[in-house]
Amino acid sequence: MEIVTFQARQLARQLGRYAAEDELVSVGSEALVLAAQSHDPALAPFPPYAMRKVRWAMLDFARRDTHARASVARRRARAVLALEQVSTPSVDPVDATEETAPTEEAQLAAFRDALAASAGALFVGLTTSPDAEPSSSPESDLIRARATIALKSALERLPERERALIEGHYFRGERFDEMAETLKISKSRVSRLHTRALVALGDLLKHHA
Amino acid sequence: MTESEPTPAGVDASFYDAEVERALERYRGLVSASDLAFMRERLLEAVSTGGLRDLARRAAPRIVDESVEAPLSPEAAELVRAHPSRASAGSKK
Repeated sequence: MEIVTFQARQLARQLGRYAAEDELVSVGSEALVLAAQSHDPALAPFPPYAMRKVRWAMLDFARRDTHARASVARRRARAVLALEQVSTPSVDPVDATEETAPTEEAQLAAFRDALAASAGALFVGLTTSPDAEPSSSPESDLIRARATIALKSALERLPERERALIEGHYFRGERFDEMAETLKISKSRVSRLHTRALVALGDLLKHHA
Repeated sequence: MTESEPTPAGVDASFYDAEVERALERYRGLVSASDLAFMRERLLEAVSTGGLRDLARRAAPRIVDESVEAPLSPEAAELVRAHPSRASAGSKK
């Protein structure tokens, strides 16, 4: 249960206290029971598996919560979910020798790409959310309209498969495993394509900022 | 960096701050101030304790301590304070 209360407290803070901690605990507790039932010790150790299941259940709940006060939480949960789907390259390739180990420049470039993809994920998650901002004003409406136009314009310039992936996932709510089946590629490949698309989107958005 | 996001030992916190600001630069004018603050918090969290932590540590310039003087233990420092002349005599040997 400590996993559940810790995750609920952390998520409530991340979502700006717009999600009720006790509701997150309740959802997380159910997810913990389901995780215990579905866990296969041959595939993964239980604590990280349960942690992931509990967190995703809470984020999914916050994303779907229909209370009016939860619109901010829904937007932010959507953005945090997008952030957590960014894949990061391995920092320690097992077959790296002294000659093939990444240089300082390569490590900095990999970090910057991952950071750019993460920022892109947050932006796309917020911008494609159907929920309005906490305090809607003519100025915030203008910013939102500008962001939507910039995102659509950048999407049009993405390679076809990456555009299809971003549109399918964020605009039509398709899951990575469903898209993997449609595109006839593995789920991990979808995840890497998603990350690459977010980096490319960020580069295209530079011109709009 | 905030108090809840500790900087790993030997890493300059300003590196993380600068890199996050660099990543956010393109979104200024496309998101509101409150959304930008939310994005900044989540990115700082990701680089300090989240999924980007290992990549960030590898990429961060290390702080090198160029001092040749070894730090004194509290007891030794107390002795030096109590007997400054003996300490300076000792260093001349």
